[in-house]
Order: sequence, then C-alpha cells, then structure tokens
Amino acid sequence: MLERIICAGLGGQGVLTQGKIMMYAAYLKDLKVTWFPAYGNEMRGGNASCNVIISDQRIASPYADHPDLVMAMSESAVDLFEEAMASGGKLFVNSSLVSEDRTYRSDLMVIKAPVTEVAQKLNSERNANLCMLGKVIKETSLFDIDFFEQSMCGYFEEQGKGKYNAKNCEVLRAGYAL
Amino acid sequence: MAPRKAPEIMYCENRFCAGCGHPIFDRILGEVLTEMDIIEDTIMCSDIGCNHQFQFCMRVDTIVPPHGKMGAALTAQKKVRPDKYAITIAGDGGAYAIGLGETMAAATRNENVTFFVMNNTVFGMTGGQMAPTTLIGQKTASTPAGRSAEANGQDFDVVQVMRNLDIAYLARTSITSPGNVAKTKKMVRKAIEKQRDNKGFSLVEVLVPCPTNWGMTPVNAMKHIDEVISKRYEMGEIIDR
Amino acid sequence: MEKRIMKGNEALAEGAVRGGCRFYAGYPITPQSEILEWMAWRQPEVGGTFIQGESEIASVNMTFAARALGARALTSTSGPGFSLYQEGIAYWVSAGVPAVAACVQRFGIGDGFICAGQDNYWQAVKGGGNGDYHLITLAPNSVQENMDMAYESFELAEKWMHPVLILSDGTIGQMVEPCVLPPMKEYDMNQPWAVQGCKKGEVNKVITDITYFQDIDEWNAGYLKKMREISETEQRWENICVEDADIVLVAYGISSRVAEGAVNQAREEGFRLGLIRPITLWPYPRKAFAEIPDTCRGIITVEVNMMGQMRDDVIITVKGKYPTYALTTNQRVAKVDQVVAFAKDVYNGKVKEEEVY
Repeated sequence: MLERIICAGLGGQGVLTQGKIMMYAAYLKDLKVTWFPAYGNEMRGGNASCNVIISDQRIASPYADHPDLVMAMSESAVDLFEEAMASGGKLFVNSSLVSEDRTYRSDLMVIKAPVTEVAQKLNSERNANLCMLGKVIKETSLFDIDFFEQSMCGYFEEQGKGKYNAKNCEVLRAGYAL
Repeated sequence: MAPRKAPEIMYCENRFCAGCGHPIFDRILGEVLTEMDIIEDTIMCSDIGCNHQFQFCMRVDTIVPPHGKMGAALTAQKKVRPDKYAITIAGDGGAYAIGLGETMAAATRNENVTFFVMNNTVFGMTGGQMAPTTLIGQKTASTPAGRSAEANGQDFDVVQVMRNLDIAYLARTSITSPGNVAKTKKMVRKAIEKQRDNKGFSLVEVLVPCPTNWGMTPVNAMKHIDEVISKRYEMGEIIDR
Repeated sequence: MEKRIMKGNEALAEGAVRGGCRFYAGYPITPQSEILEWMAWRQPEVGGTFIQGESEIASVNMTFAARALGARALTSTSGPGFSLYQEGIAYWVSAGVPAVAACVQRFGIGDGFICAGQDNYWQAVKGGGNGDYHLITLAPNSVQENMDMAYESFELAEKWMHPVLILSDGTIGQMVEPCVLPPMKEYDMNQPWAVQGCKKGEVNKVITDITYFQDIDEWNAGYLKKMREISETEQRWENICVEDADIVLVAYGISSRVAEGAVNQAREEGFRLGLIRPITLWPYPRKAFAEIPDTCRGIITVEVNMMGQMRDDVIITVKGKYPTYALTTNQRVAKVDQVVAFAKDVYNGKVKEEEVY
C-alpha cells in the first residue's frame, strides 16, 4: 500500500495542518509516513501545500510527484496539482471556492464538497480544512472515522490546542456527512 | 638588592625580543595568579601574534582559537566552566582589528571575562605593520609615509568606544617604570577580582614597547610611551564598578 | 522505546542532546534555524549551555572553546554560514578537538537560496579550510538518521580525536517523519585531554596546533596514519539492487530518497537500475563500488546542484572503468520520472559524458 497525498490551498487555509493530521493518524496506525511542506520559492503567490506519503513499507521519496489523492482547497490548488496526478487518483475539490463549470481530467475521480460553506454555517470557517478531511475519510478506505477523529483530537492536544476539539469534531463530522 | 625570583608559573625563559614589553606583562600576570592562588582555576585564551608566546613559558592551561576570536572563546569558556577564570592576553591587532567584532560583542553582553590587551601600536609578529592603534603620523611597514587619517583612517581608542558600556572595569596603563609596573599589577588584580565577584566584563589595555618594529633602543621605546603614546591615549581607570 | 513524530532539524538537535551534547552555539540561518531554536530551550533543560553567537565566526569558535574545555559541543549552519566556519574548523582539526558541526545544505553560490540544495559538498569533503584534512562526514537521508547520526557523532569524533560533520540538507531538515528516540547518554566532561585548570605539579595543557608542542615530522606521520585508518575503516554505505544493475545511481541525502524511488519504479518496468547510497561522504565508500557488475553501462550521480559535485569522487573511485554522469537539477530536487528517464537515456547511449568541471 502506498498513498501519495497533496494538501493544497492558500496560505491561512490550514493545509499544512490538514497534512499533519493525516500524518498523525497514519503514525498512530503504525504505518510508515512522511510529511514535507512546500517552502521557500515554492510558496510564491500565497499558495501553500504539503506532501504526505503513507505506506506499509519503507518510503523512498517524500515527494508526491504523482499524487493519488489531492485535497484542493482553492482554485489555484487545482491548477497546480491536477495535471500531475496519477491516473485514477481522487481529486477532492472545495466547491465553495472553485468555479462550478470547471472541467477535469476524465481519468480522475473528482469529488466536490462545499467545505468552506459548511464550515461557515457552523461558525467555523477556519476549519474548512477539517471539513475536507471528513469528506476524504468518507470517500477513501484509509482510516475509520472514529479512529481518525480520535487521532485528530490527540494531535491537537499535543499541540496544546485541545480545547477546540469539540468544535473540530463537529466540523469533521459535517464533512463526513456530505 | 637581589633580583626577585620569578614565580614557579614562569617555568622557562621567554622567547621575546630584547626590550619587548610583553614578558613584563606576562610576569605581572604570573605573579597575580600566584598571589591570588588561582593558577589551577585559570584557563587562558591565547590570541595569535607576539602575545601568544606566553604559552611557551607559563605553566597554565590554555586554548588557542583563531586570531582575534577571544571574545567568542572566552564567552564559551566561562559558560562551560563557570568556576574557572577566563582570561586572555590579546594583541591590539587581535582585539581591535580582526577581532573587534568578537571583543565588542563580549563587552556589550557584559560577559564575565577578562581581557588584557597589549597595545604596541603595530602588528609586531608580522613585521610592524599598521594596527588600529597606530598613531596619526606614525611610520610603520604599511604606512611608510606615516599614518594619515585620510588615507588610513582614524586611530582607535578603546576607551572612547567602551566608555559608555555597562561593563565592570576598563583601564589603561603602561609598564615603563617600576611605579607603572606596580600600578599595572594592581589593575590586573582588580580586573580578575571583578570576574571573581561576577561583576562582568573587564579590559585593561597595557601600553608596551616594541623596540624591534619601532626602530628604537629599549630605553627610547619606553620613553616614547611616556612622552608620546600615553599623551595620545587616556590613562588610568575609566570604569570601575 | 520512545517514539515521536519529529522534524528532521529537531531530530538532529535532540539526537545530539541525547548523545551527551551540553553545549551549542549557532547563528540563525534558513533552513536550519530549528536546530538553534530547539537547543535554546533544550540545553537549559538538561543543564547545558546555549549561546546564540553574534556571527557564524563567533559560533564556530565558541564551539572550539567549549569542546577544548571538555563539553560535547555542537554548532550548526547552512550555505554561506558554513563558508564562515572553515577557518574555525581547520583549527579544530589542527588541535585535535573532537567537536561536531552540522551543515543543513541549501542551494546557490554566495548568499544562495533557502531552498533545498546539495551545494556544500565540495567544501565539506575536500577540506574547506587550509591544510591537509577531511572531516568525517555523515550524510543522513531521513529524520531517523538525523537523530541517530547526531547521537553517535561525538563518540565517533572522540574515537579519532577528529571533528565530525553531519551534512544534511534543507529537505531532510524540514521533513517530518516518525522517529525512535535513543536513551540519554551521560558524559563526563573531565576528560584527560580537556583543559580544566593546571594542578600543582602537573604539566599544563595547551589546546592549539599540536605541532607547536610536538616534533612536526613525528606529528605529520601520526596524523597521516590516522587519516588513512579512518579512510579505510569508517566507510559506510547502503547498496540497493546494485549486483545486477545495468545503470547505477549514486546519491546521498534527499537525492538518495528520490533515487531509491527511481530504482523501485524502474525495476517494476523491468529496467535494471541500482543505487549506491554513500552514508559517509568522507571517507567516500569506495568499497561499495566493488559490487557493480562489469556489464554496467554507466554510473549517474543524482544531485541538487549544477555541477555534479559528487561525481568527482565517483570518477576517482571507478578510475575510468565505467562512464560517469551527473543528473543535476539545480535548486529543484529531481522527480522520480526524471531520474528514470535520464538513466534510460544513459543506457541507450543518448547522453554524452561531460568533462569534469
């Protein structure tokens, strides 16, 4: 098993955290995992992204050259990463911010989710990243939602941000329900 | 009167030129370390230049970092072994030219370390080139027509630079007479006591003769300090906290 | 067994602390500042010393002093900071001071860029400062190796009384992976060689260029013997699918991770690619190359620089037996596809062997 993931969006959308939560869940599941942020020159234009590789075997490159799974939180994220995706890959699109009439590669599975709107309705716009994670858990077989929720809470607790966990879980579950 | 016997710490003859001021200072320091009974508790940091010859005649543990970097090395020494005195014998080139950054950084941080800077107004070991302390008008191997402020820049006075720093002790002295030697010895002891009492940074600049590079007899070199150099540079205790 | 998720730079810092490091001095520079920031709270916690030096020059010389007084001492930097270290490190060598430096490489000449790079190679393994020396140079390619190499670096340096360099890079430094943390080592800094103040009746110690106090010819001979012994006995490497390879990649650090990916991908396609991963860059793992079959059509170094700095060492090692190439990708780490395609081009005779730069 080898899952090459890219979490991408604009600075401030929490895509690095999105990737770290995936990493943490994989770590708790005793899988091999690497997380690598785009930094320096790669961050031009306010874009942010990170690579997460999850595998049950030794991981060679930490780069997702051809991602199997992309979480695109913004229009520019789709622009940047759709083309390189592996055939048959899953492209999760934040349909709140990506234009409705956009066309995609036909060999990809495109999953649209209005995660920013859903998060807004829960008065938690900054947590659209978690809402997207909920949808990803629903549409993939990577993690069980209860396990994932628990590991996410553990991650935030370790960061000293455990007090927001109730709200975080609410948004995650809302994404899962989409 | 029989000559006073050198303290045991001076274990062999020094290698300095005849008439040089460095060995006089080394002897003073050797006596102070002996009288304070702190040889075991002292780790010297050597500069590189004539001044470093002390390591070949003084029985004291020593480290030798690159030229001028004593401010950095002493800082680390004092932190790693705070129970040991961190002392350097520096040259004016090492402390004020290549190492000015490190010297000033240690002083501005008020590190609890002690600098003894031998000011002979030239780079002695390399053949008497201009140092920051070379006087305006002074001929050296690299200012053959005499130092000019326009061509070579102003001469450097550590007292002017450090006067307003929050440091423990700043003084300038010379060793041109028995009286001045005695005065210097008191300042050396005081500087080390500042470190003992955790008061912070201390620096004593000692005007020393370099008859070889000045082209003077030893006696005239001493006179030159009394009559010229000590008139240009403010003498005495400037900071004593 | 203690296990955590850690960033590469943090793992390097923590590995050093657990290996007994009780002194750190450094100056902020990307992409290694996390080492400095980690030490800023960690050293006080373990009773050690942290100093943010006023410059790289001050930091490398603070490290000299701390190590000369016995403390296991580390300093770390990147790119141009490592250039400023060279004089200081040459003094470590001439005085036989077993200090450790880490250089988290970036790309570019002079100031350069903060992106990942492998641009300090020549400087790191060919001396860097004046005089005849190499540093024992370790090249981690994972967060775990950052931890483990920093952990063992002091014992390695003390074994030979010779400095050790950990040559990491921006990607390994910024990457996050799970990591096993080794137990804390205790270290007595009152070592017989360390200056601690000269006791009455003892001969004093002077930590300086050793030849000041020893016959220079005698010292030279002993030093040469030591360097040759290190060169012979400390080579480390990892070979992957080399024994039947038609093309062999040679890569260290982040490039070796990508190159390993390329070997996996090529083998799936039936293309026999192999990888030699030097773990020590000096001594260069010459023994690893003995496994290459005579039928191999070429050796390719994969490097994040312009001139293929490590290719020089491959040429020296294979002595013309195989043609050598460098896949250099400047400031961008190569993609797996790119490595495989280049290797195929070499296999098919489509790449001209460049002169040595």
